[in-house]
Amino acid sequence: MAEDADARRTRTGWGRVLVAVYGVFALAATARSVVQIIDRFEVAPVAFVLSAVAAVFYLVATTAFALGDRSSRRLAAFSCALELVGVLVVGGLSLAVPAWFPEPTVWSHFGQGYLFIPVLLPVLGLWWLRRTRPGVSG
Amino acid sequence: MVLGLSLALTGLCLVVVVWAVVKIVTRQPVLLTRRGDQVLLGVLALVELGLVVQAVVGFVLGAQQQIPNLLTFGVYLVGVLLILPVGTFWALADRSRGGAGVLVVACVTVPAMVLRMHQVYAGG
Repeated sequence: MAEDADARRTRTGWGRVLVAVYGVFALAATARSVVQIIDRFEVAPVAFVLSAVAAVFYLVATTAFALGDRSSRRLAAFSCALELVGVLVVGGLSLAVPAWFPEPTVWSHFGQGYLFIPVLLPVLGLWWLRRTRPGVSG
Repeated sequence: MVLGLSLALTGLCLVVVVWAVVKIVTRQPVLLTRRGDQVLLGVLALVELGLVVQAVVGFVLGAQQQIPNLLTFGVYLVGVLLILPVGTFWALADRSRGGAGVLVVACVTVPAMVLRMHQVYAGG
């Protein structure tokens, strides 16, 4: 009962919008990495593998936020944390070693090509999980 | 690509965004039982229809001409068709103003994808 209420809370209100934005990024990152890998993997193997990793985390986060039960919330937190590390590391690497990133990916330059949403999204996700954590009203 | 169609679709999406923002500000959910929201869904259906037409035109053009990034172009043409049906489903299942927020996300995403589609078509 309480579990159901918590699950509803994670995916209602702004959580609903968060899932929608995550869904868009899951689609964008998946489509982009699939195209890059089938079409021209040899051009930038490092960048394209990282694109695929980003896609997987976006898919996991979208699903976890949409389900919102206790184990999904843990998975969502894990996914957001890794996304944040990923976007910061890849963002930094893309500036430090541009040769590895001849083509833009979702996370290169801290998600500049996507209005920096990739760096904001995991932060918003973690904030939302904290705000809707079980046992806290409001 | 048909520029007029893309501009018309972008305009309709922005109308939906404005409408949805008004609903967010006035704290109203999106409900199928309301007349205004039925019109809103009609507009979304019209945009989706336009996107289907755009996909058909895009594939015909892609078959006729040499487009440098044909695969990417095709993925955009098909991918953009998913946004409104999935977004509308996710929006309607909500009983708070979050549903209107979802429509904002969907109707900002569609013009962004259409813009990228034009850039890819032009060889970008």
